Amino acid sequence: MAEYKRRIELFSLYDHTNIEKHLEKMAAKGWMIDTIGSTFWRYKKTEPRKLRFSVVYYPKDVKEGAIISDDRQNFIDLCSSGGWNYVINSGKMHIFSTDGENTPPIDTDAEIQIECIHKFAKNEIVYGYLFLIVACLFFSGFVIYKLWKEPVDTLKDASPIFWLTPFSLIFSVFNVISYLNWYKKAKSAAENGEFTDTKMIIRFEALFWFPLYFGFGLLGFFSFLRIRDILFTLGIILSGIILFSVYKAINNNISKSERKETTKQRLRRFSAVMLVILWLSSGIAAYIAIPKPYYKVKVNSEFGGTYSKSVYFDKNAPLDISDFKETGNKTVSREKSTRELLLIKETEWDIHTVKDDGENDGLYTYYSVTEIRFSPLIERCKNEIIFNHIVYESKEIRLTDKFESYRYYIDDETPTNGFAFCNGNRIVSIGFGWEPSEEELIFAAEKLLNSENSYVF
Amino acid sequence: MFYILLCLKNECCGTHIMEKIKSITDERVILGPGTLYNLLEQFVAEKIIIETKTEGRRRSYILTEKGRQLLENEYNRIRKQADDYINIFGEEKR
Repeated sequence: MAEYKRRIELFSLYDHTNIEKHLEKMAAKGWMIDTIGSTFWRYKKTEPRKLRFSVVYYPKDVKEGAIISDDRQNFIDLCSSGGWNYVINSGKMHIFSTDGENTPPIDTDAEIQIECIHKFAKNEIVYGYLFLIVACLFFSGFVIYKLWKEPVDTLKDASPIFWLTPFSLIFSVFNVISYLNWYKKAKSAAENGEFTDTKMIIRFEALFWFPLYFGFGLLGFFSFLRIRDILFTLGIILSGIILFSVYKAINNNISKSERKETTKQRLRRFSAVMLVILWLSSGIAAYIAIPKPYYKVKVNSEFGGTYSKSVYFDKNAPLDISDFKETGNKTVSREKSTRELLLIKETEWDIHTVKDDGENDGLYTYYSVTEIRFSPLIERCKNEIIFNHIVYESKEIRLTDKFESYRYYIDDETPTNGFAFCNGNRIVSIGFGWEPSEEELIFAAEKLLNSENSYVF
Repeated sequence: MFYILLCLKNECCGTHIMEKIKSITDERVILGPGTLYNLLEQFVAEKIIIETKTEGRRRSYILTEKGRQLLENEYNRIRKQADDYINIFGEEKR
């Protein structure tokens, strides 16, 4: 049987009533509170005991991690002489227990108790959440501004901070209101000498924060990656979990065995090191064994010397160089990347040829297809991609009535081989390594505006 | 408050205050250690009592002149309340 166990506890720290009840239940099951973290609490195995717990808030400042001052020790001693044994503290929150059924409570005056709780909660809870609320509002303002100026760049960004801001805001406001609501009731009851139990307020942000952050973070991370990298990453995480379970099982067996404690320690360390080596070596082997989506070639630069170029093997480009030019036996690199999140999906293709003799023949096309799934944003996205381009100016060209067409210019007189097309909720931006004809442009636009916008995988 | 000040006529530490209150009120008044600690801190800050000595971590206190005055005022207030009661109900009984 393990000596310690950790649990995720989502109590608000001022929720003394429910913390006391919970600790009583745990003690009855043979688990005594040992360490209090922000989310994880550690319990130590003991004999099951019927204990009463009391959570009290020390009224003076306590430096985290500081040695218990004489003043605070005096408080603990006073509680001990009242029949309460000091168990543990987390900052100002002190936990005491007693096995005496008739031991008088530590707090016998409701008004003083509320004063202490409020002093504690004001600093530890309310100010913390208010800071979070102000930070969230500030960040929301920034996001709204960015959304207005650059909707494509903002919406396809899977940054967890961006998506979690509204969640943080809701939970923070909810927690502050819940506390203040309880405080108001408790204060008014205390004036009549009555104690008010705290209500169970789950710290939702602790419950959601990690999985949401992790989920969105993973989504953002994976939106950059290819299926190979995703499977590899998941494999590493999964094998890590499996090997950790194996370690726990081995550890349990070692604990049960009748060896000396020093031998047990050595065996534990040995098994941990072996499993980590196994995990790392299998990860490295898998990384080497799984074929990469590209290979490198040395290319002769037109300015002399060589440089290396990646040749990608992505398939099914909706528009290929071979749709325009004869590629013969040249190697064609087709690289695709997709970023997608809820309202916007953007797929980019970079297609170029590399001669087998290592010469760079400069035949290329690159394009992006942006699909907007929220119609009020279409005009803003067009502004960002076509009209407010960072480098180029765009001028409308008339190719056909079926869709809008634009050409990018470096300045008023110098056109580039970059174009943009727009129809419905799709915006296409395309560049060519040659001067395309009108027919080639119409062909490219029609293909891309109507192409299947498939996932990168 | 009344009983804490009453106990501090003579020098006394926190633990003894709790015991004394229990004994003089025949366990009618129970004072929790947390409440006592807060009140002692408050009384020291308001100069109603002063800390006299520290033995190890045990601190002793005693009433100040201000505290004595406050206690007397409280006693007079309670006595007047008792007199008022007797004035009304005491006469009825007769």
